[in-house]
Amino acid sequence: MSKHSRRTLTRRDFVRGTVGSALAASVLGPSGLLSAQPATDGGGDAASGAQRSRVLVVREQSAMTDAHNVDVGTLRTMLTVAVTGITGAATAREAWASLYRPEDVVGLVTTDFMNRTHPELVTLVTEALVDAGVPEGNVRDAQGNDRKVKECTALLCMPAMKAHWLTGIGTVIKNYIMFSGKPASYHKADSAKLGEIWLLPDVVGKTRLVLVDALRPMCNKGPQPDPRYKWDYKGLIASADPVAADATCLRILQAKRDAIRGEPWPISPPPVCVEAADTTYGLGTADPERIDLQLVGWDHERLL
Amino acid sequence: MAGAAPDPCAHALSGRDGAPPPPPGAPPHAPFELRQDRARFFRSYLVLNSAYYLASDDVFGLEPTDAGVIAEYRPPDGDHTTRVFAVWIRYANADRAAAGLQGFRRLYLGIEDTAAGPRRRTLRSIEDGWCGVDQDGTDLRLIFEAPDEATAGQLLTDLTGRETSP
Repeated sequence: MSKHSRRTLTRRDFVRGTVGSALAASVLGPSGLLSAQPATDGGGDAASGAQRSRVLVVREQSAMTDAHNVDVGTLRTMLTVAVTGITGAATAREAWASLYRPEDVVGLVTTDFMNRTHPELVTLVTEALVDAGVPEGNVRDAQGNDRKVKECTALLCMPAMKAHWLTGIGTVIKNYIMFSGKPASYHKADSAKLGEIWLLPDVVGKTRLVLVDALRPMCNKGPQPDPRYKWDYKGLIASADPVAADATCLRILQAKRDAIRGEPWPISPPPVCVEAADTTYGLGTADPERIDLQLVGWDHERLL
Repeated sequence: MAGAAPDPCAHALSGRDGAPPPPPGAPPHAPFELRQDRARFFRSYLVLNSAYYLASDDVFGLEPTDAGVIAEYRPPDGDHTTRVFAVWIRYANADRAAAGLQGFRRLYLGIEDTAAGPRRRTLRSIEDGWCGVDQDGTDLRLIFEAPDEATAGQLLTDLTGRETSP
């Protein structure tokens, strides 16, 4: 039974379409962080008003074998397409150099356990950053705790795409939960406050790119792996806007769930952290009408 | 639900501590049939939410000694747009079941009960259909998304096995 004064968010709020006001008015509550500093970049570049966000989805059929092993050559090409596409640079080196400077300490924020980010992708990204001039010692694993992120001047959010039984979706916004130093507390109220972590002093403004490993996502349960709900999507999703990236992942996960059951199968719990990251924390846009999707490559069952 | 086949999940749980949840079955009167692949047992509201989202908090006040089941029913004609959900929770004692009823009425239905306590059976039209709740001893039974009041009442009666509230 709820013993706190904030209002319980219920199924009725979602059916009524009042979840946004319920979130803002009661579930999230007042936040010193919110009044202290509006987000400016990723969280998030696309924060304000009617600004539009870009999300690039690149897929290749040969990215994974029938045994679900990564084809590194294909993945390297996909990574180049993703980073040049999202930056507009002519080459991969120029693209990475436009995002991360040689003096940066770049933290790679991966999913490090259970449906983990493919290590092949982490290796390729590290190589690309070094090729673009970032010293190898300055490319670090930043996942795990707030001390690591404090040492980084720039972050690259690169989670694996998955549903999550406590947050609805456990991909981009959820990926920084360990930076809070108190992850369990962020699972209350359907994890609606996860966006707040992106505004912590050691986190805010550091994320230059979101790169989602959508090679083999999972559309139900999670983070614990369940092979019934994993499939070879063979994709990478890139954006400077973490909310737009998460919202796009949500569309794919939801479409896959509906396809599995042959009828609507809503993600549960409702992934309120994505909407709250937009409307409450200003990290980007969750509104599909304000997201410019760029679709590249294999279009079989793209689910978008 | 006399005559309903025992559910394997119920057997799996029957050796555990706490009250075993009742097995779901087809309501004997209502024009619905049980979706065999959609019945879930739970001891935590988080597990209930993963099958049928109700609320961001535990509106039932569940503890590890309590056990519940959620079941989905559909018309036998294959209509995929009509569905009804039943939740059946067995508490460790009747006082906690009564508290669970009161919590659900307050947090989900928005009904503030008097000191005298709530009525044990409530039928209420809400956003997604008719909702019914009934407490009997240690058991709390609920119906969600029924198409009309009569169906909600009938399904509750089917679940409780009695025609009227005490």
